[in-house]
Amino acid sequence: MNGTPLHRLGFRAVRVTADLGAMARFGGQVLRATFRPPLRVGRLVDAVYDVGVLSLPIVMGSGLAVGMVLGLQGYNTLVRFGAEESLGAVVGLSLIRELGPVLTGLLVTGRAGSAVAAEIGAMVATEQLDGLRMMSIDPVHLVVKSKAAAMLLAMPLLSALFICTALLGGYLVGVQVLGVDGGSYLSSLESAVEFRADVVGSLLKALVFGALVGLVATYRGYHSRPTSAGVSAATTATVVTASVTILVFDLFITALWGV
Amino acid sequence: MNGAFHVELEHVALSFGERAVFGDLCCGFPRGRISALLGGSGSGKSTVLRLIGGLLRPDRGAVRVDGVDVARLEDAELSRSRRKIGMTFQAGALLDAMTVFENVALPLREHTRMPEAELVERVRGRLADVGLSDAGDLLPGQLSGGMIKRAALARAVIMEPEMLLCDEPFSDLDPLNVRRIEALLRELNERLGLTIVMATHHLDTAFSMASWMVLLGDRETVSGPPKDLARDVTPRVVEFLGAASPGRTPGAHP
Repeated sequence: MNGTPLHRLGFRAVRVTADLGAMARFGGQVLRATFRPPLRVGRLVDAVYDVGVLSLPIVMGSGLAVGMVLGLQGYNTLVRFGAEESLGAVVGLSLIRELGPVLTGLLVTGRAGSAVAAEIGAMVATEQLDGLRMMSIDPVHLVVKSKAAAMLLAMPLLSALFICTALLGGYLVGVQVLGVDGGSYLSSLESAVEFRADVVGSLLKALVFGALVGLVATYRGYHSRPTSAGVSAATTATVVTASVTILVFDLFITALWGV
Repeated sequence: MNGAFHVELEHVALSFGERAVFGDLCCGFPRGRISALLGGSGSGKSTVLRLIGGLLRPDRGAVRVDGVDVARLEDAELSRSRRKIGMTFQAGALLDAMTVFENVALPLREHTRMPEAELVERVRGRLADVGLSDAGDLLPGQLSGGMIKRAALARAVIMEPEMLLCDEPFSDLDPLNVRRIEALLRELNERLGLTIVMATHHLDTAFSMASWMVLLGDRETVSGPPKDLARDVTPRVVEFLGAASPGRTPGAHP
């Protein structure tokens, strides 16, 4: 685009604002479609399987690795102060309040968010959505709403599994390898974590991230250009936009709600 | 509006970015008849079908279906008006996550409360009409290009619409299946009074089936009964029909 840097900045700002507005309108469409019968339970179950069950290996594998690293790092820091008995509390609070929802959000964006955008984008490129429109079937109702809802439902569950696996990883390193007392690990974890403030807050955070990833992935796929390059661009944009959005929203949620 | 026309495009202008597809397109398609939409590659045949189906809105002008300008309809009204239209796309546009049977059954499941036994019978009947009796359980990815075309046609006519828009219905088909699809389209046209608009490069099939033709050109659009087009000595018509059938002289087509 031609023009001064100020022109270009203004043009980009207008484009981003218009894009955000279009995404919000699309979110409204998806929300209305979600509550309009038929509910399409079968398609929702299939989508939860695609988003949730197929993400289990990567989420649990990553959770184990992150927990082990936290165990090692936490022990090395705590042992300097003779406070290694608090390892369970450090690992647990880090995971439940922050790392669990955020890292699960980023992992699910990379695996399932990109897949959803690519699938819907491919349907645009092969005129499948136009085919539905010509049959008087709303593509948002038949295709989009179940995928967005699946992301919303699966994210808190995946986040909880990530946290549990990571706690196990921290326990294995701290207790089995480094010799921290197992009872101390568990009791410090239990006494430090509050159910309402930490666990429920963590699940709500994951729910918000699930809604964001679901919206971004379906919006980018639905509005992709009908070419293979367009599908590729939509997939990349999904990963970038959703990842940045998760991190920004995490900052606001933590700052405003203290979760 | 001319009452004989089911569809009329009036002074339609459409551009994709900088590229103008139509400057001032005027043409019509008669009710209850088979019309062939002809023109070179990139002349806008598929675009005309998408305008009629309301998938594209013109920059200017009107696209009247049953006298109603579909370009001015709200999404909900447009969706209702499409219940009377079936459309097949060049690449089939079958849902690739569903089997052929599920694809063909989809409009019935979405818009009717037809008992399952009746639905199964209707879908199997349509699949038999297009020669796909044994392909119901296959996914679109397991079909050849011609089979996809035939499955898409079965899906487009399953609701017995008033109008059928076909984008290149005979490409990728072997001669036997060209005859089969010709027969099916004729039968639907005669039995249901179906208006059929088919964008095609198959001139022989177009001349044998259509009772109305529209030839899209860069500057002007020529339309009329096939005999009139075959006798037309306008350079543009002679050039197109001659290139499609080498050795043709004006009036050589039936």
